[in-house]
Amino acid sequence: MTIEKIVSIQNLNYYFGQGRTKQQVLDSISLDLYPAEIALLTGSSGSGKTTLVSLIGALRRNQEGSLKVFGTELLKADNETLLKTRRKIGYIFQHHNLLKFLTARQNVELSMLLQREYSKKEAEQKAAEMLEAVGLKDRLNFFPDQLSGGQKQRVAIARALVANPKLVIADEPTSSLDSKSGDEVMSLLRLLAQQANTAIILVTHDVRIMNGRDRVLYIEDGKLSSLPHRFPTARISNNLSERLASIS
Amino acid sequence: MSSLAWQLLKREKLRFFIGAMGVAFGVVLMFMQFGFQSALFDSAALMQSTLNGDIVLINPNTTSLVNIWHFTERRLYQALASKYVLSVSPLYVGYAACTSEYGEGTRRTFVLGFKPEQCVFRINGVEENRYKLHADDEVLFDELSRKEFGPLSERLRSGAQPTLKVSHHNVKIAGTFKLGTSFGADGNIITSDSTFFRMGFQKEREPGLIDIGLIRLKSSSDLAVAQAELKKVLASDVLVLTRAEFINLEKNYWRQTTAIGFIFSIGVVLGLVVGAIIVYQILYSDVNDHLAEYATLKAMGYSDTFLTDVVLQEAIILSSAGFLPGLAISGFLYALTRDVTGLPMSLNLQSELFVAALSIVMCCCSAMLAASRLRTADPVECF
Repeated sequence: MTIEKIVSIQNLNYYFGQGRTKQQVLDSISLDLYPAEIALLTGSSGSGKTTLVSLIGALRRNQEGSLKVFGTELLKADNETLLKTRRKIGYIFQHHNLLKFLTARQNVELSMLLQREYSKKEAEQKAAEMLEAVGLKDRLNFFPDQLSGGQKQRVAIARALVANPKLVIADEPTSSLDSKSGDEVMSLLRLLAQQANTAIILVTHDVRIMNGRDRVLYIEDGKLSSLPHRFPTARISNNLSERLASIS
Repeated sequence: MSSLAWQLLKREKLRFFIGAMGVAFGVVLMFMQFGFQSALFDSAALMQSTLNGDIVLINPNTTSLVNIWHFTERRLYQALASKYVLSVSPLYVGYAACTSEYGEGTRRTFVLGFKPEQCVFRINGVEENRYKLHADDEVLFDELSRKEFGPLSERLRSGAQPTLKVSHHNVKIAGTFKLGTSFGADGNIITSDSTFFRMGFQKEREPGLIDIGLIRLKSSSDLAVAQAELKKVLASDVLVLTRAEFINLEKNYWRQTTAIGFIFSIGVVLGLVVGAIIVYQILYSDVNDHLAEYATLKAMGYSDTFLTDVVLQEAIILSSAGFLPGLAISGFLYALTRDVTGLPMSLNLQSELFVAALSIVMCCCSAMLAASRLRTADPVECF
């Protein structure tokens, strides 16, 4: 039985603007992502990583090249197709993750209610279970402004994963957190994803979370590579060697 | 989980309150317009609604109580030949300048004359007192006439017998009744036919002419059948109407031949527009303030229709929350108007349902307009 690729990109090009102001933002991107794979996407601002991730997340329409998510081609797809694809993806945004006027539990339920096959009762229950899984059993009815940064991100994770999506897209989930919370968030993410066989694309600047085992994709000037080029190698290799040193 | 719309409104209590008050304001404006219009039409036909009769005869040229033509009383008595008719009563109608000894100035008064041995008016105070009208120059006065006539009913209760000068003819007040004024006159007087003519109205007419002919049918008679027969039997120089048709004649006069209906309709539209603008403002700023969150919802995969529905639901919640206070305030204002002007303003189920429907429509239109702002919520901005 062949394993279905979650994401399959071939020769993707993306441009901003028209005519004389036309600018190429993504250049010949090719990428495959399999279930349960975690890919860290990193690059400087302006590198195109946000654009790439918003294309994979069906938030933008692909213009050139093949982009298949869950086997569905999104090249020049209509709004209905994009919407249906989005419903199967779990999102963790850097800002404006949670709805401020809903409690933690209601925020997580939102994700469930999007999938028509769950009743209200089932949604409530699964939301509570998910929040318990991320350690927020006592915070079910708290509003976001009553939660710490780390707790908010955990709610966001619960919301992204509660409906068992096959793909999660996370945008800088740890950058506004201290290293302890950041670690907790990452282990939770990795654990839950592994349990549910979910693939994750994680956009990040945060070198603290790179543990040397995840697949890392570097993007620079719209081009994708698995090798860091013109990256602040000094900093990163210091960290790696520190970590390697601490393991042994 | 209760709906998103309800959650949104719950968190912003001040905004919710202002929105509901906006709806209430529009509702009050609409109710006042409807109330004044109905009061006008109802009060114009108030006297007609108290007549103790099933069929009414009038001159075909008569269009309303302010435009009455005489006709010969022979037609009325000819109706007695019909087997359906029990009895008939002639009515005399006129307007006179009236001065009260306890009041200020001279006021236009509606004067009704009838045969006091007959029960013509189903009005409190007329039935009990009509025997007094057999004496000359005795009249019954409407307590609900305008206050400028003075405290006549109190004077009466304290034992005095106040006098009025009606068209320069002095008459004594023998009792009072409660009817209510309309836009045609400031006060109402009911008296016997002989006193009516002593007031000077006979100068305008030949003897034997009446203004309204009231016909009472036997209890076993069918109204439609009797009316059809009378139409055949009586010559076409007289109009045969049921009491309901007579009432509608009056209402239609005011509705159609004057600008009143049109002006009140404009008033209703204004009430709608004011309410709609306030609700639009509230919903628009609400959508605006939550634009980022709507973008998150769009990114998650919620459709534009779903989000528009949220705004629509907010509008319906506002409309429901504002309607009841608006109704209560309107009820209070109606009572106040009744007190001050004597106009018969009252709420009825029909107008309540109509205004409720209008306010929901108004809120939904505002919602659709405010929801257009949702288009600027861009899910791409979430990244």
